[in-house]
Amino acid sequence: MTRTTSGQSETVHFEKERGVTEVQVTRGVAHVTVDLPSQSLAADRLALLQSLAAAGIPIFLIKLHPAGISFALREDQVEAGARLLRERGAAHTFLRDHGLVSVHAGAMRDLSGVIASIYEALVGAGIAVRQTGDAYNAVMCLVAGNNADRAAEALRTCFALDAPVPAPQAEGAAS
Amino acid sequence: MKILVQKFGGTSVDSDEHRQMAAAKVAHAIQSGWNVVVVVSAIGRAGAPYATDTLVNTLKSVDPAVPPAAREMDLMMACGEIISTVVLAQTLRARGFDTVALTGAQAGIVTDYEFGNARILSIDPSYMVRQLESGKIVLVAGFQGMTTYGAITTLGRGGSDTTASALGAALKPHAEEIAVEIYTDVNGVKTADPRLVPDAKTLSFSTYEEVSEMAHQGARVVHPRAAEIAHQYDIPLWVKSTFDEEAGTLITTGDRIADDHRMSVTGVTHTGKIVYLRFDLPGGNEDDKGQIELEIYRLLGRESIPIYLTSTGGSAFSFAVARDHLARVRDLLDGLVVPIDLGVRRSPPFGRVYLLGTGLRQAGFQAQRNMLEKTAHFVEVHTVEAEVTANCTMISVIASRFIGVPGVMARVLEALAHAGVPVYQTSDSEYSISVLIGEADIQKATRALHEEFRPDMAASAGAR
Repeated sequence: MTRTTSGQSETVHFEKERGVTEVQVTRGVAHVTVDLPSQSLAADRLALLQSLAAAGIPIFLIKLHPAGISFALREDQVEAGARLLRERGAAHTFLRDHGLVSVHAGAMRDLSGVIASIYEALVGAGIAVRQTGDAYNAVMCLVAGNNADRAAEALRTCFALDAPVPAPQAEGAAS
Repeated sequence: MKILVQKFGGTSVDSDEHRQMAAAKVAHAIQSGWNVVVVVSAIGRAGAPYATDTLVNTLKSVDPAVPPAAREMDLMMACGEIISTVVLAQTLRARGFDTVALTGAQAGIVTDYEFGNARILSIDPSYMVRQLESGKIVLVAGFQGMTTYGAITTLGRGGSDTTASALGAALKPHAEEIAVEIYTDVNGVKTADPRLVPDAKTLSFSTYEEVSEMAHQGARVVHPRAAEIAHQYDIPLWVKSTFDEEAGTLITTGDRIADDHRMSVTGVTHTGKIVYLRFDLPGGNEDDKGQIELEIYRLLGRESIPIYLTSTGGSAFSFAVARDHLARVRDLLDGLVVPIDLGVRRSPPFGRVYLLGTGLRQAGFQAQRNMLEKTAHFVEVHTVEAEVTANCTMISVIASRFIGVPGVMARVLEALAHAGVPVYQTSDSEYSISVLIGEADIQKATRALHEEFRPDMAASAGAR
């Protein structure tokens, strides 16, 4: 809190600046796309998620596709995940060594242009977004690991932010 | 001195009976030793004589073809809160209390210049503090402030909640104890919308993050801006009902809530009527996808149209918009041409263009296509037709304490499958799991998920 005292008057300056406040990079993320037969798609997706849960493999950025499902997981879970997918006989593609770049803001829904600005920065830097997610205070973009720093830099420049925030370890979300 | 900021919403001050109930809450706080600042919303909801929507419509109806200036619109809207503040002040005065009613500007609230959605820059609480010290109840019109040049501004959605939290933050240095109470027509934060789940519980405690995520996912609780300020300045925030004596919900930091009072799942929320749009690029060309997404998001951002449930993968991408925005979205996207630069080439194709459609086949779309067909010898022309899924809604399980716990999404999908609810898309963050479903299934889905996660919500004393 900033307080300014002038004679009898005390002013408190506090509401955060509107807009993005920080950009974080989480490393060590893999992305998996699983193809499933169309006849029993919903049931197969559910069965796959249940078997991942039973194996104790946390996953996040889960998205449904007309031909299957995709999700992200920590690199240290890739081996277990791949084994499970092989055992289930599910056709799948692993993209290793990705980074999750998170753009944080106060209230995302009040900032309708944030996603446009994110894409502007990333497309402008020639960086492909593999997957996206959002929460009340953040938009997450999955990018190739070798692009993660460049992506964060482009986003910091785009949102006029300075110092990078230390990167946390990848952690599965509530899934 | 102990300072309590009490905020009363529109339904708490829309009749003399309700104002007397609100006044009783103030009187009780005074008797309990608090110095009280009351923040008041405009009287009633749409249709009521001094409700914000009524005032806006009065101004717009002067000439529907001429939109009012944003500055004047704010001046008009601010009147609703000023009227209700003075009326409630008089109600308290009639009960024998010494009161002073203030506009946001008189309370020292200075904002930026974004009329209709201003952000508070600073508050000088010294006048309020002097009034409190002299034993008065200070009543402040919510939802408003003033620029440094004296223009009245309004704070946008959740404005009165934001005023209450901000006053709490500004008054904190002058108080040995401070709290903010948000009074509304429900007795706290619920585990689900009681209209859909009649036996939904009231949370005793919740965290600032959980409440913000619930609001983000559609629950009508405290506005996230108010929660953010309260969080930033460590101010306990209560949500209570004006119309009963229930304790309400205390919103605070997670470390202040005993472990046995915290729940793995906070609640099930749903957002409004939304429409899901999915684009799949022909030929599976993934390289051009980012440029097309950018053009779409740029257009929607420029029009301040929020998007949800963004997803991208392979040659497809998708997002949801509020159904109220669909007509505008279609206007913007139907016939949109996105050119892709292929660099310098000696032979055709010299470029590639994508023509977007949203199923309307409007004149603009047809005209664009006719023109583009004439260039087909030189540039590749692709039509991308959106798959539009109307009549959707999004339902979310708020589960911040499930971070890293495998299986929550599986439980969500399993519960919905058992309830016979098809799921079109999913989304997850560190705070929640969301699914896109048909609007007709909202009650079935909410009940199924509330039932599935009931043990996680009721395993502690956190809900009653």
